[in-house]
Amino acid sequence: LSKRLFIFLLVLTAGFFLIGNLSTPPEPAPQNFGYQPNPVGTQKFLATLARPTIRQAAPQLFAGAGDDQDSVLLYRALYEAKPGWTVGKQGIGDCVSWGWSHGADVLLAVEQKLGTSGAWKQAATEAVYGGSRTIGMDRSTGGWSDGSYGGAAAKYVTKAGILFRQPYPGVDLSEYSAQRAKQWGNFGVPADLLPLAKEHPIKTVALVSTFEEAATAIKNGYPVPVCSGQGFSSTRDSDGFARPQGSWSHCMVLIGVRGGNRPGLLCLNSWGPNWISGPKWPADQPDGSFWVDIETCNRMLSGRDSFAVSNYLGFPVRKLNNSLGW
Amino acid sequence: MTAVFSASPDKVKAKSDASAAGGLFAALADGLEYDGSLPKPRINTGAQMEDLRVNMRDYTLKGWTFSTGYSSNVHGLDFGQVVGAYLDGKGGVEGGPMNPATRGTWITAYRTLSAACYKAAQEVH
Repeated sequence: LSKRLFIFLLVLTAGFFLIGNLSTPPEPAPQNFGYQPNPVGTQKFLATLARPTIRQAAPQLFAGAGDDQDSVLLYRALYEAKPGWTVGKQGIGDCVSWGWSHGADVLLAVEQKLGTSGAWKQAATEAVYGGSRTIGMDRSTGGWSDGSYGGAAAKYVTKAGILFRQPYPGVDLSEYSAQRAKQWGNFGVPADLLPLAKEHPIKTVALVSTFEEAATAIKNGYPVPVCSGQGFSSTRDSDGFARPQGSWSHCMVLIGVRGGNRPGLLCLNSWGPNWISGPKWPADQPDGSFWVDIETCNRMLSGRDSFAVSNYLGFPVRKLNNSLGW
Repeated sequence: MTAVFSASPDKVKAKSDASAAGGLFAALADGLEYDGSLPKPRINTGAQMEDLRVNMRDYTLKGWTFSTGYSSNVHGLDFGQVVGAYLDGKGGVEGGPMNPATRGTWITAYRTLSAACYKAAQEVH
């Protein structure tokens, strides 16, 4: 009898263990994250800015309150700039560079659509990553552990600039390389490439710490790379929202705003197009993205390491040739 | 524009071409004006406007160009050079953002060219 009882209890325990594991979604692997908050470092960077917050840098944006029913979807500019664009997928703990590079890509697409940049090119994440861990953190080498923070990326892209997904002398950045990200994360951006990056800085960054501030930035064409500890479900609900759950030390980017009876911000992750499933709003919402409700946005942004980006020094606008084409 | 079209020895075709050019310029002006009235205009930069006018000419003339029939190599005065010099002076060559004032400048310039071409269609003999 005791043997049967033992087997029964064993099966029961195994059953509970199995059910428990099936009902709890697996946590993403560590290489999917990479946000290492450094409030002191970010504060130090902010102290170098004449107008560090978005309300100080652009008070005019808040003068005329926008229509709360409005939705602005910045990713559509990206679809026009790069037909067939798909979200990237990080290979190490370099999420900060992905959030910021995706933000740079959206910003440059918006600038091209508005006519202030004559071309669009995709940012190379490895440079933002290596640059944030060296120049962004005021050190010559970044070490071999992964991670960065918003203030460091902000410092790098404003002081040093962006490299693109294209061949450069001595290195081809056309495709993402996790191995290169790891190496540059320690050694930084090669010195001979820094003058080329310097040609394309993001000239203005401003701290965003509330939903309203982020929504206002996005409505004016400025994406918001967001660094926080907030995790989410990998399934979207019927309105395209992901339920906040768990903890992610992670950086993503906010690229859309919606009003109406369920307002929120659209968050683009860097885990490729397939990590999240479920309904979208609108139908062309990018794969790999999800909507975040106001309360959760406020919680994410309250960490004071998220920035609106603007004034990307892109490419000269073409001159008209009024004599040709007739 | 009368001088441009008058240089052609085929006066019947020149009158027809001048009329077609008048229609094209008028359509460009009307299109730009209508676009500017939309809540979200689609033509927001000089470069977009240039693409629009090249495409409109292409579709309207089914691939034929005024420069083919009225170039300095053919009859002396070049349609593209004359129109280009006028537009350079009125609208400029910046391909960047277009505001309501610059849109208005281009609309007026195209309407002026349209009128000049229709006038040429009357005057070519």
